[in-house]
Amino acid sequence: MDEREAIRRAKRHDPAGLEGLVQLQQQQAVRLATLITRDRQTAEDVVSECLLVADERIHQFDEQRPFRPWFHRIVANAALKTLSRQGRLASLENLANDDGTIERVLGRLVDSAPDPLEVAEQTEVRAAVQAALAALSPKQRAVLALRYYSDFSEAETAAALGIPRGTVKSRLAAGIERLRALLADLRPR
Amino acid sequence: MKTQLIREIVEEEASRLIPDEANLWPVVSTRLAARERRWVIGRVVRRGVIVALLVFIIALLTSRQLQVAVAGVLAQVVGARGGPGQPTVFTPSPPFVVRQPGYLPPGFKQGRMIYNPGFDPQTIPTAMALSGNPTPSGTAPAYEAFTLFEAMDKNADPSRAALLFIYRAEEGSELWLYERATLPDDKAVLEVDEQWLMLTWIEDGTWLVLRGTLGREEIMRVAEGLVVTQRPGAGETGGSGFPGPMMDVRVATMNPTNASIWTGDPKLGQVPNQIYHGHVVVEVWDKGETMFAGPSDENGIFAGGLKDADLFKRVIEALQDPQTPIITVTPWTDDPIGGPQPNLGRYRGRVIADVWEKQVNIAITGPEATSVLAQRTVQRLQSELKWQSP
Repeated sequence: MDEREAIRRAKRHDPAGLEGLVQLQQQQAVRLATLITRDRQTAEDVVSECLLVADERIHQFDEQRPFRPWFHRIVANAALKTLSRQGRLASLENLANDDGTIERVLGRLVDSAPDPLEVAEQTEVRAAVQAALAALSPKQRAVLALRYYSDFSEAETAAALGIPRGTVKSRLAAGIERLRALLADLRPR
Repeated sequence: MKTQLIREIVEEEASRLIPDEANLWPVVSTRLAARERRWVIGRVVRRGVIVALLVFIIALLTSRQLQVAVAGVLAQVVGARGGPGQPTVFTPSPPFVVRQPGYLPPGFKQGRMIYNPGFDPQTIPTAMALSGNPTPSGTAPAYEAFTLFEAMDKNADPSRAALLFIYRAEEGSELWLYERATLPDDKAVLEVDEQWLMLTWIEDGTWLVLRGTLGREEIMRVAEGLVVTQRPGAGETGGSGFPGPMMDVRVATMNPTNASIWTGDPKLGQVPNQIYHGHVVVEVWDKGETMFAGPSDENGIFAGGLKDADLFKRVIEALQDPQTPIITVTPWTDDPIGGPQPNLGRYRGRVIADVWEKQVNIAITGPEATSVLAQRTVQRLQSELKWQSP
C-alpha cells in the first residue's frame, strides 16, 4: 500500500489505512523521536501516540502534500512535550543556558579557527560526535534532527517547532558550537 | 561539506540508536481499539446525558414535585424585601409602577404576598415569590398563587409579571390588591357581588385591582392612599428607598415520604380503558384546609388551560354520593405533606381524589372521622368554585 492509498483509507476511517501509515512511517519517526528523546522506549511511545493523533486529524491533512514532514512535525513536538512533562527538558535547557551557548555561539561561529568537524570522519571522532549529540539540549537536538535527519529547511524547521527562523539558526549554531567544543580535545595536535 | 558531514553523523546516530526495524502496529492497534471503546463509551455517555436532560425537562414539565424543587433554586433570584409595616421591594423589578397602601383600614395587616416576575410560561409557576401566612409550605404554592391571580384578573397569564397583596383583619375581613402592566382592553370598573367589592383602574401604566369585603368608601380611601413604592428597573437597592429584612419568602418544601403525592400521575392506581382527568388533594387542619389539584398532563397543566372547576365539581359529587367507595388505606404516611403548620393547628387528615373519565376514586385517611374530612373537603371545594366562577 502506498502512502496516498493509506491516507485515503485512513480518511475513510479504515484501520488498514492507519496500518499502512504505521508501516511506512514508523522507522524514520522512531529514529527522529529517539534523536530527540535519547530513549527508544519513550520514542516508540511518542510515535505510537502520534500515529493515533495523525489518524484522528487525517481529515485536516492535504493529501496532495507529502505526509512525512507533516507527521515529523507532530512527532518532534510530541517528543519535546513528553520530555517537558518528564521534567527532562527543563533541566537540560537550563544546563544549556547556563553555558550561555545560544548567545555566545553566534559570535564564535564566525571565527576562523580550524573546523574540528573536518576530522570527524575518523571512527574515534564519530563516536565522540555521537556522545556530543547526546549532550545537546532536547530543543537543540530537535532542531538538528529535523534539519539534518528529516531534511527540513530552516524555514520548515522553524514552522514545525513554532519558533522564529532566527532561533533555528541560533539553535543550530549552538548545537554545532557545542559539538565543536566537545570535539576540540580530539583535534590532532 | 560541513552540512553533509553533520547529516551523515546524525543519520548514523539515528541508525545506531534504532538499529533494527521498529514494529509499532501491535501497540498502535491495541491503543486504537481502546480509543474506539472510549469513543463508544463517550457516545453512550453523551447520549445518556442528553436522554437524562430530556427526561429531566419532561419531568419538570409534568411533575409538581420537581417544579417545587426547582423553585427552591429559582427563589434565590425571585424575591421580595421589606418588613412588617414597610413597603415591599421586588426582585427582579416588576415592569410596571408598583403601588402599596399608604392607608389601611384599622386592624388590617399584610397577610400574603405573591409576586410573579413574568418569566417563561413553563417555568413561572415555580418562580413565584410567596410570603406571609397562611401560605402553607407544602401546598403547591405556585399553582395556588396563579389561581389567585386568575381570581383577580381574567387576563392573568403566567408569562406576565403581576403581584398580589392580601391584607387581613382579625375579624376576617380581607383586602386584596393586584397589579400588573396595563393591557389594551383593560377598563376601570367597579363591581359588587354578595360579599366583595372590586375596583379596577389604570394609573401610570399599571392596572390595579382592589377587592375587599369593605364598604365602597373604605375601598376608595385605600385606593386614593396608594403610594408608589417601586418603579421599573429599580431593584431592591436601586432607589426604592425601602431596605429591610427579607420577608418570609419561600416556596414549598417536600415531605420525602409523601413526595409521590405531588406527581401528576394517578394517586390511587390505574383504571383500565379510561382517561385520567386529574387529581384533587385536600389536607384538613383544625383551622383550615390546604389543597392542590391539577388536570392530567394530557390536558396541559401549565398550558393556560387549567380547568380545575371541572375536577372540583366531580369530586364534590363523588363525596356527596353515599355509593362512592372510600379507600381508607394508602401507601402514604399519615402526616401532612408539607410538615407541621402551626398557624393551622392540628393536622386532621387527607382526602385524595383521582378524577377519571367515568369515575372518581377517593381515599380518605387521617385521625379525623372520614365523614368530617369529606365534609370539610366539600366545603373547601365549593368555596374554590365560588372564587373561580366569573
